[in-house]
This record gives sequence, C-alpha cells and structure tokens, in this order.
Amino acid sequence: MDYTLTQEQQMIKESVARLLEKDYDFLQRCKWLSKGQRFQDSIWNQFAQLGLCSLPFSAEYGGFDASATDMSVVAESMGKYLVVEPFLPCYLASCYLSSCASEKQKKQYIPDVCSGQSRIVMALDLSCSDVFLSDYQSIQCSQVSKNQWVLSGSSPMVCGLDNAHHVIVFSKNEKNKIIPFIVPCDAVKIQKFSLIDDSGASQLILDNVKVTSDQQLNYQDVVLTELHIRSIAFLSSEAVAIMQVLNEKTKRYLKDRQQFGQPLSKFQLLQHRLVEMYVQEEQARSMSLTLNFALSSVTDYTELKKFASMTKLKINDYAQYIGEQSVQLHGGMGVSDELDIAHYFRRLTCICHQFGDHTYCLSQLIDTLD
Amino acid sequence: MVLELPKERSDFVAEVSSFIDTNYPQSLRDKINNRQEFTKKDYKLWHGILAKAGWGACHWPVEYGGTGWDEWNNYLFYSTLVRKNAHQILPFGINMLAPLLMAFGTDEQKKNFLPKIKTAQHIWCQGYSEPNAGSDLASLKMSAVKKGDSYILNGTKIWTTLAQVADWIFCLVRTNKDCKLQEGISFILVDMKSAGITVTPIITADRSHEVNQVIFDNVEVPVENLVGQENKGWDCAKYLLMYERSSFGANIAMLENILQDMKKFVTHPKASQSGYLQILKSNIVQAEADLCAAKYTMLRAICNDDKMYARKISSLLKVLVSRQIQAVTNLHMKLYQEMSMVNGAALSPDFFLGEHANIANLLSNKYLNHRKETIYAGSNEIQYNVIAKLILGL
Repeated sequence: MDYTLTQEQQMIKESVARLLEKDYDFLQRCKWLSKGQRFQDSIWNQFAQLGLCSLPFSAEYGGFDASATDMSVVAESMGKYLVVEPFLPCYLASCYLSSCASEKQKKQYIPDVCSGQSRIVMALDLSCSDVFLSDYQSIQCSQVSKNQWVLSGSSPMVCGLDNAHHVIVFSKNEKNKIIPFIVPCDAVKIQKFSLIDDSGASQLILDNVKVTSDQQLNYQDVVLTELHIRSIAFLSSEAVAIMQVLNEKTKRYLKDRQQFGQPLSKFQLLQHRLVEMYVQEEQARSMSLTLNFALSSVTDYTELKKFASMTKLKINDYAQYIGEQSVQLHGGMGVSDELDIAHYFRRLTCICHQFGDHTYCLSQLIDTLD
Repeated sequence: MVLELPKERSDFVAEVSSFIDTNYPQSLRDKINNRQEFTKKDYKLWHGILAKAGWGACHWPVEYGGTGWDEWNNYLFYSTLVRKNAHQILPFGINMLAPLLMAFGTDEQKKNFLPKIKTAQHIWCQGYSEPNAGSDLASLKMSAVKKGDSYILNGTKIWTTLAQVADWIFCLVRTNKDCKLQEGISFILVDMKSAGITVTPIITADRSHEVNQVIFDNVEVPVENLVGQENKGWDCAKYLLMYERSSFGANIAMLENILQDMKKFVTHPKASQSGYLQILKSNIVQAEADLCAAKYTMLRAICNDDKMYARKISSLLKVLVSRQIQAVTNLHMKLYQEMSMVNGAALSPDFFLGEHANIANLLSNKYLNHRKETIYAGSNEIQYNVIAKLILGL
C-alpha cells in the first residue's frame, strides 16, 4: 500500500491547480454566478486542452485510462476552487461510454468529448435511493420496429444536463429489462434549475423520443456498480479538499479575530473544536485515499462496494460536522453569502446527498450483514 | 480488510498464525477461557516461547537481537496475536524502555538489561504518575538525593500497571527542585526487590487488579542505574512517548474481533427480526465504519517513514483508538442487554449463564475496564492540547 502520488499524478494535480488558481478565483466565480452563468466555455476548453476530458478513455482514443487515484487529484482541485462546471457527470458518462459503447459509437462520440466540443452526461439517480428510483425515474421504451424505439418518461434531476449535448438514459422495456440509449439533448425537454452549490441540473422529460439501434448502448450492472464506487471516490476526494480549506480558513480566522481582548484561538474550548475538526479531516482523508487506492487494485466488488458505503457514510458525517462548525466558528460572517465559507458549506451539503446519503449508506451496510 | 495483502505479507501472517497454533500453551488458553488473571509465571512462559523463536522483541533492530521487521510486519504480528487470542507482549520493557536504552543507555546498561528484557527474565513497569502529578507530569515530586555512589529515593508512584508482577521499574524522579520543573527530572532504573519499596494494589471499577500504588521509603539505587544525564530525564520521557503507542494495531484487531462476535449475534438464525435488532445492526455497521477510519489512519502512519510524522500523529491515533475501544465495548453492553449487568468478577468460572451470557459478563468488565483508555498515557483532553500545539500551531 502506497499513499504517495506518482509523478504523473503530481503533474496533473499541479496543472489543474495552476489553471484554476489563475482563472477561477472566488471573486471571478461570484461575478459569473451573479449573472446566472453556470458554465464557462473558456474554462471547459482549458480543461480539454489539459487533457482532463480525455482522462477516462483508453490510449487509442487519446486518453490515459485514468485510475480512481488519477481522478482524485482532479477532484481535489474541483473542490478547492468550487468548480460548478459538470466535471463529475461528464467523467462518469465517459467511463460508461468506454465500457458500454460499440467501437462505432466510440469513434462517433469520444473525439468531440476529448476536444471539449461536446459534453455527455448520464441520467443517473444521484441519491441512489431505491425508493426514489422506482417512484420518480421511469423512462419506458417501446420497440416500434426492428431497430427503432420510442422513449417516454422523465428523470427528476440530471446534473450538468443544462450544458450537455447528449444524455445517456436508462430506459426499461415492457419486460423491465434495462436498455440504455444515448440521446441528443435537442430531442428532449429540459427544465433547468440550480442546486444550492450553484451547479446546474435539470429535469429531463422524454415525450415519445425516437431512437435507433445506433444509439443503443450495452447494459452491464457491474459497470454501474463500478461507476457508483468511482463517484463516491471522486466526491470523497473533493470533500476532503474542501474540509482542508475550511479547517485552514477557520483556524486563521480564530487567530485573527480579537474578542475579550485576545485572539479567539486562545480559548481552549475553541482550540479543542478545531482539533476535532482536524481529527475528522484526517479520518476522511484516510478513508478517501484508501478507497481510491482500492479501486485501482481490488477486483472483489462485494468488499469494494461495502468499503465504498463505509467511506461515503463517514465522509457525509465528517463533511456535515466540519461544514457546520466552520460556519459556527466564523459567527455572523459564517452565514454571510459574501464569504466563501458559506459556499464551501453548501457544496459539502450537496456532497452529503449525492450518491448515497447517510441513511442510504447505512441501509446498504446493514444489508451486507444478512 | 478491503486491500489484499501482498503474498509475502499474507504468508507471514500464516506463519505467525501457525506458530501460535502449535506453540501457545494450553494452560494459558485455559486461563483466558476461564477468566483467570495471568501470574508472573504465565507471562514469563509465553514471552520465553516467543524469545526462543526469535520473536521476543520483534521490532528491535537486528544488532540488538530483534528481527529488523518493518512497521507493517510489526503490525501484522501484533494483530495476529490478538486474532488468535494469544496474550499480547508486555509493552513496558520491550516496547518502551528498550528503545530508550538503545538511544540513551550506557554500553553497560544495554548489556545488562536488553537481553533480560527480551526473554522477560525481567518484567518491567513504569513509574511516572504520582498522586499530585497526573496530566501535569512535570510537577512530579518523588525525590532522588545523591549520597555517595547511590541515589536515595523517597516518594510515591501511582497507577503503576503490573507493579505486582514486575521485577524492575523505570522512574522519573526529581533531582533538582530549584529550577524549571522539566529541567530537574531524571530517569532511573530501580530493582523492585530493593528495601523500602511497598506495592499496594488499587482495585479499579471493573474490580480487577491491574494498577498499584508504589511507595518508596529511603530506597537506595546505585548511580549507574541513571539513564542519560542527571536532570535530563524529561528528554527521555519525551523520546519514550514515540514508542508508547505501539499497541494501536493490537487494539484495533481486538475491536475487529468484538465486532465479528457482534455480527454473529445479530445475524444468528434465531435472532428476531424486530426493529430493535435493526437499530443494533445500524449501530454495529456505524462502529465498523468508525473503526475503519481509525485503522486506515493508523496504516497511513505505518506507510509513512517520517519519524516526526509518527510522533505528531501519535496523539491523533491515541484519540481515535481510545474512542473506538470505548464505543465498541459500550455497544457490546447494549447488545447483551440485561445480561451485561452480571458481575463477571464475582462469578465462579464454571457458572454457566448460557452461551452468550458467558461472553457478556466478560465484556461488561471490559466496558468498565476500558474507561481507562481515554485517561492513561495522557488523557484525551491533554492529547487535544498536544494536537492544538504541535499540529495546528495554536
């Protein structure tokens, strides 16, 4: 087991951080968001130029076959700079295409994704709650001829759909068999909204959308399982980076802020609170690093799935604690939208609800006991 | 473990396991099963067997008769002992005093003491805390006054674990009262058979006898038993801190054992499917996730060669592991419900309460016993202060 980064990972990490440091500082981000701009072409193009959009693909498509740990260094920067562009949704769709598209489809879709010209997202159930899935995400497909189907139904929340060109939907036929299709966004209805972390999402509505066998993708349960674990690994790394930022900022604030004639950091109660936040950050990092590492080396999906559920369960707990305490220790400033603290807090809050919230992870783990 | 061990590591674990199967004495197994306390003879028997196999002081450097294993193998060795229900290595001589002697001891001291530590010919205990010097250790008062070729020791040590079986004790003593507290302390080795030493048992809340009060009344100790320089004992104490934490891996393995036992309990075919059970299951998987977070934080430290990092992180690990021990033993009490009230200490070994209850009453004692975890070797509140200062720079 080796927790140190390889030279390549170090390079990716530094180049992403350099780009975002220069072009994605907090004030610039606020300006964009105040104008309702949740997507910057210039930023996405630079992602593509750095090779971030091609990372998940194999070498013959100009990619790097990126491991979870490779992606984790990107995730850290996405967290630190609060990037609202849909990097994770596109990354997941890229992974799905890599595993489940035909060679012809790959040639058709992948080059434009790599160059940044096209974005593909997946209509996945982010909360991962089975209840949610069965009640609300229902896209039916019915075959009308040998290689033509019609899709109808809706998906309540698809992240990144508002700026995507294609969406991968998981439809069910009359026998409840899952058949995925890749559908151009101009063929579907999209109702845009934003999340509390300022990222964009949409409701997806398909009203008798015609698709052909050219658009049909393979379906593999195991691929979705792996993608679910990869999402958790990515979000964990992102969350840890945010926890680190919040802990550092909160510590600095307590050192600077004078009350009762001395810096707040002199009060033992507040020192111990900072220590507890640090203790949780370190544990979060241990779980996140281990999950990312395990994803590249372990083939037993039962164990891996269980460990991913444990990781997400704890990341949710730690994220909530550190987020809430950072706001608390900043006092009035913590609840102000002007400061980045509230923005980081909102992103952590979203992470707690993506790809398995506390209750969902707990129920998954309880199921492993039986 | 989610990560598979490389083959050479898993072979090593298999080797240790089979060694324990073959060599762990039945008489000691019976004692554990019958809830009997180990005697001095028992400790020496087991340590002697390990020493003969070359594993008595496994983590020592080869030049001192150790194995030269890396931190991973040390961890795997200690955790395998626990998993196989074999007794742990007593830490005071082998894990704590020995590294200190290697760093600060004279050649004479190394030659005299290290071989006997390794074979447990000498069982050691640690004389640090005093009635008025616990968390505030530097305020200790036990005096050592030089008289000819000896020091004369007067004072009281308290909470001294295993003083009732120890042959020797290493002590922090005051050799200078007229200076900064830390600068008047010395580190000295004392034969427990010396005239003037009285050991009084202290019975703890779980009604066991682990700790003692040790009174020194004009105890004469030869000057050559001083380790390092006079008045430099605080440096020794700080150095030793780095080695005081070698039990984390063993403790985590112990908790993994308990969690396994709890899982068997709640998934037993006869277990009811009530909501009550669902809540217990939920508590168990949460405890398991917490334990994983602690375990992988420890393994991260093992993978890091930086000694300074190890020292910094040791307070963090102490906090995590002690919390988990208390959380898991607490949860275990809940699992066995009213059976956990049975006073195991007063129960004759052959009294059979039922398959699970026999485990339960042992565990209620564990719950009570492990309240010590967040208190000894620097209470968790003190560890918080250390982390605030050393890591956060507050």
